[in-house]
Amino acid sequence: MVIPARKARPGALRLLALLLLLPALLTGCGFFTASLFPGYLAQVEASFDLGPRIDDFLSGQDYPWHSEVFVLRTAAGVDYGAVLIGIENLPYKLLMLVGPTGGVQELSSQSLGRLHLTDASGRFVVGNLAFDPATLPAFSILGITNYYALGFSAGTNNYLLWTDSATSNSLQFARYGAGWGGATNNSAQLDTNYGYELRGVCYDQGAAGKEVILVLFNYNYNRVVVLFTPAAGFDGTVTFITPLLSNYQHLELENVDASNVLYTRKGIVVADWDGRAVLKDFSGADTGKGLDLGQRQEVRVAFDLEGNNFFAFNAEDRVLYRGKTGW
Amino acid sequence: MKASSRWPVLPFILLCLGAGVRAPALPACVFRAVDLSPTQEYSEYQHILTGMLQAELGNAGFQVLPDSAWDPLRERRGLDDVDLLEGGKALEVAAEAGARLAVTGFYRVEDRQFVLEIKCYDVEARAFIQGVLKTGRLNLAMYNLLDGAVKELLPKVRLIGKAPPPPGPASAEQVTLLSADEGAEILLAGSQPVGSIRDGALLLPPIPFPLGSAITVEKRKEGFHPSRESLLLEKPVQEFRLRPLRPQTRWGTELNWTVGQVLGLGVAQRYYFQPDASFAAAELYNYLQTNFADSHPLVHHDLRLLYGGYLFTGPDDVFRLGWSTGAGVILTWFTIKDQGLYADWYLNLINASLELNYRRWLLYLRGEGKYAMGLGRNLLGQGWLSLTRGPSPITVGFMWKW
Repeated sequence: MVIPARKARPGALRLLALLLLLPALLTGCGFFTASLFPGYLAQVEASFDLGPRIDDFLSGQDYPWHSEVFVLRTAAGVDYGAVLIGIENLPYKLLMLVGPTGGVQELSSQSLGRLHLTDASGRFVVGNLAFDPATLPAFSILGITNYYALGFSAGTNNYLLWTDSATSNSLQFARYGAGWGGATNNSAQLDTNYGYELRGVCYDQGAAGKEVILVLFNYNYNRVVVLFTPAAGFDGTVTFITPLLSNYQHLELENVDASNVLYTRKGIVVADWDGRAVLKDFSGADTGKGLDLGQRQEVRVAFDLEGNNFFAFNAEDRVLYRGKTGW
Repeated sequence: MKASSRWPVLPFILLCLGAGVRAPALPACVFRAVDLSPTQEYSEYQHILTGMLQAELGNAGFQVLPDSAWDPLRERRGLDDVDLLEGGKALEVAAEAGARLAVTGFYRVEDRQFVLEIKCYDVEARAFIQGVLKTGRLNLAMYNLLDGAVKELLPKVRLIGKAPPPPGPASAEQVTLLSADEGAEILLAGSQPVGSIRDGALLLPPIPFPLGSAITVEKRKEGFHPSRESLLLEKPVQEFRLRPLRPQTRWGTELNWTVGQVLGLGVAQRYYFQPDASFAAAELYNYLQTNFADSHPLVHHDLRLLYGGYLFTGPDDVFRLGWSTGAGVILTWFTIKDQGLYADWYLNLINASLELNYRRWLLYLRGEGKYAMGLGRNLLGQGWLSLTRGPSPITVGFMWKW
């Protein structure tokens, strides 16, 4: 007697379909791009091993150190990726620049600082130092004494902006000439109720009427505010209508890493606590674009003004990556 | 006022009621026990044994007829007591005396060895009911021997005059097992061989299993996993098609696919140290990582060695819970210049899998717990691995068993 082989039962087929479908359900729209490896690695065009330079800077000592990444653009529109390394409780800092040719230039000084911009003379300014990347290691010292200020340049003027404390409701700013002389100080009320700390400044000449973008952080509510202000308010051709937050476009963001909120022309890039840099449009809506930075390694990231390119510095393997965002 | 004075006739009424519901006592003829000893010195046991029998039957609800009821009938037939040891003669006398039960017995004492036999007969059915034969030393324990012999008889003796028990449930008369596993040995209840599959079938021997009951059948065949099935008997004549036995396999070749590595495919080879149980596996998964727009894909090769097994479930189960553990390395190439090779070594501390298990193939869903060790030139650093968007890695796989 021959007994025919059993056919697959409908229940088993349904289960098979579920097995195949389950992973897709679990990963949702990131099904094809989800990975164990940080997504930005697949966007990388070049990488630069900064480890030996950092080791030299640390002189073999096991100092705790921190890093900052930013992009500096020359007057000719050439972008440099910059990594600034600081040692905890020590004044020494190391700046490493990666230009379009791929070489790494470095500068080590106690005068390097948080401030970074391309000034009205076309020089890169980092902290209290001004230099031309083409003539490094030559540099000049500017004499800026406000170590907490951030800045930008517009036309023939340079500007420094700061808040007096982490909970200040007043924005302080100073206008300098192209040679950083003759400061004109001014201030504008930020808000009537809450105090803020200035965390970031970006200047976009193409954003008419809201050229200066400020990133403000409110400690009390763990809230980041991106405020769009006219450059004319800083050079005195118009008077700011205060409080600024009540009279100018702004965007409120919550539950984000305040030190990683960055402006690009494609939108605001916001780093969340899940290892993602998410691109939001100027109304705050998620565009569905972004970069996966990974969850377990400290990765600092910066973007060019257009949001087309990024620099990502992995502080663990001490590698700076340059890539395209694909946005 | 006391209840007894208010109801002075209550005990009497209860007695009458009790008597009314009680079945009438059946008459029993207890013939004198016959002394077959070579000497007369043990004749007193005749009275003892006969008396014990009469007393026990009386206690059991029989009406023991006095000797005067049957002794004249014996004499009239010219029979001695010893003649009544023949069942036929004892039945004749007892029947004439109007008894339903006849009891005969003898004993013999020689060299202080005691032999005792008692037999009981159903007079109406003219049938032997039960007998006992006891031997022992002639001492005080002999009384226990007598007592035990009498009590041994009583359970069956009490059934006389009772209505026959109702018929038992219907039984399965013919159970046929059909199987494609030619030559497979069939055991009942896991231990009792009842035959082998021949020409695709086995007719079970006629064991009166009641209908509605279930029998457990175990199949065994060289090169296959033993299998048990529970069969519910519903009809007197019934056929059961047994599940095919699952072959024992030593090797498994896998194709698998992992979430987070979807632009790729894995292959693996398992070797089972014990057929379809504990195993070692070598796996290789090649995949691309890309974000599509402006992307320079990464190429990953995930190599690992695993050791694993199963929990709670056997090779015959459709669903199996599996586990595995091991270690591996993910080699990564960039598709841009001058990047070299990165190697992320990891411990695959635990994988848990659910398998949909068929005879020659299986499908599985596997959750994976990987811990990157952060050794050497790596990209992942140290820590548990999880997807940048989503859960820990999950793999679906297909395995061909051979």
